[in-house]
This record gives sequence, C-alpha cells and structure tokens, in this order.
Amino acid sequence: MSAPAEPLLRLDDYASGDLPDAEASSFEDELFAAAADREAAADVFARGGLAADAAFLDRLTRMTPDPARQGVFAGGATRAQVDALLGSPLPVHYVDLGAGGEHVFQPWKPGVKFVVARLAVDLRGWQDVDVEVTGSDGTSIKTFRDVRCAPEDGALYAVCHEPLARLAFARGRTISRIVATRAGARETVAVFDVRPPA
Amino acid sequence: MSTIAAPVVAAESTVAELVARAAAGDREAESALCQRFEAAVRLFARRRLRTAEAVDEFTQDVLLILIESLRTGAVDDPARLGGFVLGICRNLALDRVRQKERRAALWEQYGAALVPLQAAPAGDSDEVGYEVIHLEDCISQLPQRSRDVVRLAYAEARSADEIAGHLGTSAVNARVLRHRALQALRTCMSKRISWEAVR
Repeated sequence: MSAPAEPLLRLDDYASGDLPDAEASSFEDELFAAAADREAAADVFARGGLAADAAFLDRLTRMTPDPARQGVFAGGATRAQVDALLGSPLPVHYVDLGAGGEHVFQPWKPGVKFVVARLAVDLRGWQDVDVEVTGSDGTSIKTFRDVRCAPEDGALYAVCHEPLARLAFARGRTISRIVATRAGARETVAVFDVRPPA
Repeated sequence: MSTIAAPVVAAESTVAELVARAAAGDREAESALCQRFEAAVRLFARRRLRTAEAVDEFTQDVLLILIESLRTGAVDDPARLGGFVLGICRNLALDRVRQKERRAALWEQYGAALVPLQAAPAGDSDEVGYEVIHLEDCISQLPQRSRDVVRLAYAEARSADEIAGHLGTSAVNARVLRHRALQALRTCMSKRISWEAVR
C-alpha cells in the first residue's frame, strides 16, 4: 500500500492506522513541526498545508457524531423518526409541502431547533433519487444526492438544524426538482417552487 | 470549531515569542500554544486509541504537561517546540499507567488553564455552530456510499477492514473510498455553505 503524497490523505492514513509505523514516526515529526508554525484557526478550512489539514481532520472527526445522531448520513428520515422528533421535547417546526407546486414556507417561532419539511411524493419504487435545488433564475444551488424516502408513505422528510433552514430561506425563492430513475428511465418526479416565510 | 479561543495577537506571534510570554505568565500565549498543537496531539492519540473519550483524555494530559513545562521553564529550545510536544506524546503513549496516577496531580495544579477544553466538544453544544451546519450541508451532497464511508470512518472510528466488511468491498477499496469522500468534504468545507455561495 503506497502512502499518498497529498498531506490530507497522509494524515488520514496516519490517524486511521493505515500508514505503517516506520513511516508514521517520521510523519509525526513533520506534523508537530507544522503545528508549531501554524497560524490562527479562524479560517482554517480555507487554508492549505499540513497543519490546516490536521485541524480539518480533527474537527471532522469531532463533528461527525452529531450529524450521525441526526440521521443526516441516511439522506432522509423515516416517518417513525419524524414522529419521534415531533414527540420529543425539542422545539420542531413541521411543514407539509404537498406533492409539488408553489408554496410559501410557514414561518417558525423563535427557539425552534429543527425544521422538517414533508414532500408528499411517493418515491417507493424509484431509484437514485436526487433533489436538485436552483434559484428562481435557474442558478444551481445544490443537489441532495441519493436521498431516501420514508418506507412508510414514500414521502421525503427533509430534516435540518434551524440555522441551516434560516440560511436556505435567506437565499430567497428556490425551485427543487426531485429527479429519480424507474424502469431505466430518468425522470422529474415533482417540482416544488418554495418562497421563504414572509 | 476550536475548543480554545486564541487571541489574534497571540496567533500572529512566533513560537519563540509565545514560549517566552508563557514562561512569563501570559495565559493567552499558553492558550495559543495549546491551540496550535491540539489537532496534532488528537491525531496522534486517534492513531493509538479507539474511543473519543480516550482521545480527549490523552490530549488533555499532553496539554497539561505542556503547560507545566512552559510555566516551569522546561522548554529549553522554543524553536523545537514541535519535537518537544511530540516527545510528551510518545512518552505518555509508552507509559499510560504511571500517567493515570500523575494525571490527578496535574489536574489539581494546572487544570484551570484547560477549562476551555472542557467545553462541549464540537457538535455537542445546544447552540448549533456554523461548522456543524456546514458539514451537514456538505454531507447531503455526497452520494450514499460516500456518506456511509464518512459515518463509519469518522463518526464510528471504524478501520478500513471494518468499513470493507460493511460495504462488501476490499480494505484497499475502502481506503480509496475514504480518501475520495474526505477530499470531497475538504473541498466543500473550504467554500461557503451552498445556500450562501450563490448569492
């Protein structure tokens, strides 16, 4: 197994134990020397170099348990998970956006921790489901890859932390296209034209 | 999200200046030095220890000894502080049993200096930080297989062999998948959150 030249990948091999001990020892010398020379971490993700990559990998390792607990890695929540969230003491804002079309997102109260949107399309039987989000002018914003529908009703339940929802709606009106594959054909299943809360 | 808020003035200083200031009792310089080494120490620990708690404890122990060394003037050559801290790590890794006994004494004497480290770790605070929602945004743009790899490798600290078992592939391929996912996240997180980027 050859050691990668890129610092981030060498760090990853080092921390995960994939870098052999003989190489790890000299790599540690490099790592700690770079740490000594490191600058402020305020914008560490925008920087390059071994120390910045080390800070990134360390933070990634420490942050990932949180989205893991929230089910972010699954690409969508089940109805049972949403019901559990709604039944918890956490303040949750829940909106049903129907099966597509135009909507104005209902505003939420201060203190809300999670925002949940139900997209009431039945995606059972569809594969490779993506949600492509653009601005009203067609500018691409992002694509949610390989999203998972709830097995109970086939709907998509988008669950996110409230600050992320706030950022999304600060962007203004968005168009979300659910694109998926069935019987070998790639199709647009539904389109949601959503305006931010007034 | 950093656990130690280093003041800007300290971050712009050289290591030698920070060591000199720390030896003279400047707590901000001490904190800045701890912040510089925190990630390297944590990665050193992660290579050897399995649980997040053990990594936290090891990191605290190393930084406590660093603080002790700074305050007692035991850092002879500030230009080689990286090697000095690495030496602390290696000694601790070799002698964890004796260290457990010494830990209590060090905590009593220097623990207050590490109070910022005791704050909730990234992602655990009640108030969700920018980096956590940034990560959430980036994860949602990865394909499912990459998300699985990131969860297994970083949230659950699984080895390449274990990831391979979960994904039904070889350990070599699991490592390649892990590298690709990591690079994708690094690239994504070096930019702004997608909702902000197109304004």
